Parts: sequence; structure tokens; C-alpha cells
Amino acid sequence: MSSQPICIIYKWSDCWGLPSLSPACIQAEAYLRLTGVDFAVEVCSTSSSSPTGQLPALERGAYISPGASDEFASAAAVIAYAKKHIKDLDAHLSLSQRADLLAFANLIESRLNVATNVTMWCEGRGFSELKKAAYSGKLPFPLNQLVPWSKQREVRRRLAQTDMDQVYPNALEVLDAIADRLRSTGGPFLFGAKPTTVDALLMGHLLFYRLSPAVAPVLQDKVQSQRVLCEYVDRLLGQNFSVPALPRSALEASTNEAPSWTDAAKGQKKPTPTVVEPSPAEQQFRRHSYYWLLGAGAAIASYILLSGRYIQFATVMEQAGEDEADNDDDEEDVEQ
Amino acid sequence: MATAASAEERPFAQSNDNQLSEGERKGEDRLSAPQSVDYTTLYESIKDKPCRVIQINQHVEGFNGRPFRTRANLIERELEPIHNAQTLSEVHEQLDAAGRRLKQLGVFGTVEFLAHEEPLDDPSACTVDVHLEETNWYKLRAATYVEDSERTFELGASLTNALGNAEHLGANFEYGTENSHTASVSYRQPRAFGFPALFELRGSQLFRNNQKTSSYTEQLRGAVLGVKSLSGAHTVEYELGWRRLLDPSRSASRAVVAQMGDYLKSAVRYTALVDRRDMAAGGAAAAVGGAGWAVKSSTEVAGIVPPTGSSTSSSGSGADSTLRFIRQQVDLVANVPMDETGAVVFSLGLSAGLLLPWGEAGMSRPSCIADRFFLGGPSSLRGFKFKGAGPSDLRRPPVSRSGGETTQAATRRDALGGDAYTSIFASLMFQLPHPALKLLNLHGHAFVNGGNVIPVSGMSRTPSVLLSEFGSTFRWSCGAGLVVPTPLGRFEANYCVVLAAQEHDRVRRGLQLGFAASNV
Repeated sequence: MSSQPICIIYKWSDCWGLPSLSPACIQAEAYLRLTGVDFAVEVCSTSSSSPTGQLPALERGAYISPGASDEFASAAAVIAYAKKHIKDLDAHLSLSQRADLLAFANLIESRLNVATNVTMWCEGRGFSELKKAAYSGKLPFPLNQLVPWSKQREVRRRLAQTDMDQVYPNALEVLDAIADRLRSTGGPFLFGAKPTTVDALLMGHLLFYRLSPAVAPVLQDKVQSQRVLCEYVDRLLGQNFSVPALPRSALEASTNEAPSWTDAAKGQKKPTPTVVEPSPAEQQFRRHSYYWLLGAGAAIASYILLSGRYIQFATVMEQAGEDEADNDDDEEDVEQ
Repeated sequence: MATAASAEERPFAQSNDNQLSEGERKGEDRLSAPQSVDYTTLYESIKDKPCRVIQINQHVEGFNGRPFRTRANLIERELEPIHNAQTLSEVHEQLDAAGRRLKQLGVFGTVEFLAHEEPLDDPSACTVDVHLEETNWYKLRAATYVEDSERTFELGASLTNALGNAEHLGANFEYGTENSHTASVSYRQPRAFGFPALFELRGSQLFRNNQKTSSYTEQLRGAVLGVKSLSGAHTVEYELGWRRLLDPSRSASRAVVAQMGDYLKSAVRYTALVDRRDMAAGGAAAAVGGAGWAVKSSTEVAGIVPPTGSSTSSSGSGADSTLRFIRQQVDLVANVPMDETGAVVFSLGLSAGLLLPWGEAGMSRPSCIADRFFLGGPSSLRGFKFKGAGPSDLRRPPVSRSGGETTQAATRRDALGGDAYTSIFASLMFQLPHPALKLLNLHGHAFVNGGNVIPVSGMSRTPSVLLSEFGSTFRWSCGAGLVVPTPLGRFEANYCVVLAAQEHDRVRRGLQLGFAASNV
């Protein structure tokens, strides 16, 4: 484990008692915490400060997670990478449980994601709370209105097809179903004693519904009225989120990783730098471009020399031309 | 100039007919051939006699017979001071000044004044006839040019004087081969409310793709409010913009990744230009703008925002989103003809710039990469690739496939640019002896080019250490080649030899073609 480069997760800052004010970032961090792997956290003030332009983002050595247009899709990409390369939380499940897992994950994605997006971006009160928490301290005046407004336009365009009336009832159905499932399994997690991917996905939404003032009251009341959901959330929060995450600056200080800026600026004076051989395609391109230039130069030279506009060639021909011109002039005078 | 001349000759030829008519008649009686009149002496003798303009007749024409658009009160305002003239020489000066003011509006193609002795009974009064013809009300423009190694196509449309107030409305769109594009709309008002200045308001959206050299893209949306002097020598501008730096390729180096984000640019910029180049000398110097020297200085102070009451919480990324810096750039160009025919000219170009962040903890963080100076390429340092000289950082290596094979190609580097920059260019440019080549404006030149760029902020080093580093890491190159100079810049084909380069500089071997844009 120590030979592997450490994971760095980029997320929105914490707020309202939540580890991050964005549910997608809570999902990604929850997955990493449930795996128990060591990771560092880099808090970004806005999503464009992250290396992919979207939050959450995961960096591990040379790898960086792909940035998607939607933050939940970015979280899904982070979780997919972590499943494949760090630890797969679903490895212990039986086949029928995997089928259930897929069904629950899809349900959360299709219904809870939409409901959370609607309550954060399309509701007036939700959007203003989010704006205040996420942008007002961090960006100067015109930007803290412009940047969230442009993001809101994007989200609204993506949600244009959804039926707004059905969004909250669908989410409430899912919350009821999750609560029933938790009651029936009885265990600390949704699929028994060990955590799975769905637990990480649920943490994002449920924690957000429980604590954030930017969430619609109907969702918040539902979560608070279902005691089993509250207990589930509190248990996970207490067990896994109690230790604050290691910030990235502390990580760099401990490994003595100097910022690369100073290394690049220092340089020894070398008279000839190393020669890089051009690839065959590049050599062919160069050859062709030289031929082109030669051809163009030859065309210009031949035009200058042969067209007679700039250089008069043989004086013999000129003399003959003059005689003829004189004759012509005489003829013209005679005619006039 | 012809109109000034016409304003000069006619007044005294005709307005002093009253005083001299008797003398002329006597002269005519004596001689049959007309006497040549010495106008200069006549003018000198009567120029201080009282003479005032009592009426101004306007003869106005629209473009090509179209209706005349300019508002009457605008023309009245510019012609008003003519009535203050008391003597003939003052009338002359006022007519000159009024002609200049009307031309500065930029809407008239022809401005002519004619003063004549119309109220014949009053020898100290004259009438002025003004003839004005407008230019066309719209203009379309399409151009291609090379800027910063990217070929750009530009389309512009402008409406001149559409509402009659001599305003200029313009819209511009540029598109580059590397997907950079810029769209802007502008409103220009010369001589607003009679002030001798040009007022400009411009809104633009700019997208610049710097992925190839520095792995980031810049998007700037904002507005610029400017006041320019009518000769173009002084300009004061205020710019307010939203700058967003992103890295869609996800392969940027650490130093560039730390720069990504949203920034507010609120800056005041002052540009002054002193141009003492004389085109009249001719020869090779005329092709590069004339013999003499020119200096352009540009000072920009960014961060002019009212201080916010709450201090920003210390977020992990640490970068403050309001750009706060002072940027100064000076460009000097001097052309000295080496012999009296002007066939050989020695050109010297010096550029220097400094970017310093200010504000609390300003110097402890690196400056924003989009404001820094870059070195390399045919404009600043020949012999090096575009943005190839200066600090650089290693890009994120591409993730090796599951087979574990390592790629052969060396990982590319990002050009980071620097805060202190200088570039020196000295060349001897000569006309080629053949007349055909002279017609093509083809010259030859031999040059020496040097420059350096280092970072200043974000590094905790003393100024003396920085200065010694600046001197010891200077880059030099020399070479010779063919050049087609234009006043906007030089098209060059050079063979360069790099004399001093640093580790990680990207050197261009052999033939280098390019367009060196002139800074001044």
C-alpha cells in the first residue's frame, strides 16, 4: 500500500455540518472512507479550480478521473475507478445480491439524483442557499452571481425533459423503499454487515437531505420522519467520518514534495540541448514543405524574369521593337 | 492638405479685392498682360487687419447622393469657434482648426472651406462656405493574419454615423485555426460633447486555446471602457472581465493545474505611444516604419475593486479570485539608416516587462499564467519555438495501459512564462541589389536576438538572487535570412544559430519561418 501513490480527492468545502456541500462529493468521499484506504483531500473553492473542471475529482499518481458534464457522473467515475483499482466493496456479494445492487444503484441514479438536482438548482430558495454557501465568500462580487447563474442554466437545460410534478413523489417512494429495506435487513448497511457501493451513493443524498437548508422541506421531513434512515445516517457519520480528512498540503509537507515551480526555474547553462529525432511523418512533412517553397520560389523567379515587366532582356529585340513603334507612331500621325 | 491650401489661397485673393481693386485696375490699364500678384507679401501686409466671419453657409452632401445623416447641431458645435476670429490670420487659423475637428469625427470624406468677400459693402466681413461630403454608412471587412503562431480569420462590420451623431458601431468576429475565437461589439464616439478625445465602449467574449504550449484554455468575458486621445498617443482604459481557466485535456502540469479556476479582472490600463519615426527618409527604413525611434509604454493595475467586508475563509486551494497585479511593459524601436542612400538600416528593438502581484500575501503566490510574459518564436526570440524559452514544468504523463509498456516519446512540458521579461533584437537590414527584388520589398538581414524571462512571485528569493539568475540564464541566438518588412511587422525566413539556451528550452533548428509582429 505504501508503494502505491496516495489518492487525492478534490471536493467542495464543508458546510452545514456536512463533509462537503455537494452531495456528489459526499458520495465519492464516503466510498473512499468505507474502503478504509488512506487519502488526502484538496478543497476547491469552485468547480473550475479542480483539475478536471468538475468536482469531485480523483487524482492518484499520474491518473486523473475524467470530468463529466454532471457532478453525479463525475462521482460515478471516481467510484468506478476506486472499485477497479483500489478496493471493490461489492466483492463479497452473492449473485442475487449483485442484481439487487444494480437495481438500487439505478433507482438512486434515476430518481434521487434528479430530485437532488432539482432541489439544488431549480428551486428558488434552494438555489439561493446554495449560492450563499458555495460562492458568496469565495468569489468577488460580479462573479459570485455570474458563475452560479451559468451553472444553473446548464443544469436546467439538462433537466428540461423531466416532469417536474413527478420528481418529488418519485424520490419519496425511493426513500420509503430504502427505509423498508433497511428495516428488513436489520444490519448496519443496506446489504448486511459489510458496506457496499450503494451505501456510499445513499450517504450523499441522505446526509444532504438530513442536514442541508438547501433541500426541499418535503424531502427533509421524509428523512427525519423515518427513524431508521436517521439512525443509518448517524451511524455511518459517526463510524466513518469522525476522523477529519488529511489535507493535501499536509501530505506534501510530510513527503517533502517541493512545488515543481522552483525546479523548473533553476537550470544549468548548457550550450546544446538534446536532439530529438523527428518522426518519419514529420520528416516527410518537412520534405514536402521544402518542395513547396522551392516550387513557389521558382514560380516567382520565372514570373519576374520571363514576363518582361521588370527586366528587359535582349537589346536586339528591343531595337526591333523601337523601330516598329516608330513606324506605328508615324502611321498614327499620318492618320490624324 | 489640399483643403487647407484652398482655404489659404482664396481668402486673400478675393477678400482683399476690396482694398486692392483700384490698384489692380490701374495696373491693368498700364499693361495688357495680367500681372503676377505676390500673394505672400499681400497676405503678410493685410493679415492683421480686422476681418470677421458673419455667415457660414453649409453645403452638405451624403455619400453617393444619399441623404445627409449627420446632425446639424454636431456640425454647428464644431463650426462655432470660427465666429471668434477677429483678424484675417485668425480666420485662417480657425478654419484650419475647424477642418481638423470635423475630420477627427471620422465621418466626412471631404471637408472644404472657402472664405469669400460676399458682403461687398463691408470690407472687414467675409462669408465662409463649408463643403462636406460623408463617407459610406457601413463597412465590411474580412482579413486573415498570423498572431502568436495561430492563423486567424477575422470578419468585421461597422456602422458609421448611422444615427447622425458621428458614432461608430462595430462588430468583430475572429476565428483561429486552433479553435480560439473572439467576438466583440464596440461603440466609439469621437469628440463626445466636444471634448478632444475618443470614447470607446467594447464588450467581448474571448476564447483562447493554449493547449499546445501550456495545456490550458482561457475564456474571458467582459467589457472595456476607454478614452483615447485623438492622435492615438494616449489611451486610458478600464476593463472588467470574468476569466475562466480550464484544462480539458487533463494533462497539465502541477503548476498549471494550481492556476485553474474563475478570476475577476478589474483593471485600469494606461498606454502611451511616442513615435518619432520619419517616413520621408525612404530607403530600407521606410519599410519598417521610418527612420527614428518609437517608444510604447503600457501600465496596467489590476485589482481595483472595493474591499469586501468579510475576509475570505482560508480555502484549501488558497488562490484569491480577484486578480491583483501591476504590469508594466515598455517597447522601444529604433531604426538608423547606415548610409545616405538608406539602403542599409540598423534596427534595434528592446522590450522589457515586469509583473508584480500586490495585496496581502501577493508575492507568496505565483501570478496568474494568463497575464505572464512568454518568450520564444519569431516575434520575441528567434531560433526558439513559440513560447519555447523560459520556465516550464513537466506535464502529467499519459497513463500506461494495463500491459505496462512505457511510451518512448519524452513527456511534453508546459510553458509557464515568467514575471520579469526582456527581449533584445539588433539587426542589419539591407535592400537586395536587384530591382525586381526591390519591387517585391524583399530585404536581407543579419540579426542578434537575446532575451530572458524568469518568475518573480511565488518564489521566496531576494531581489539580488533574482537579478543574478536573470543575468546568468540569458538566452542568445543569431542568424541571417530574408525578410519582407511591413509597418505592422516582418515576414521572415531565417536560418538561426542558438548561442545560449537553457535546459528544457525548445529550440528550433535550421530554417524558421514566421511573422514577427511589431510591438509599437
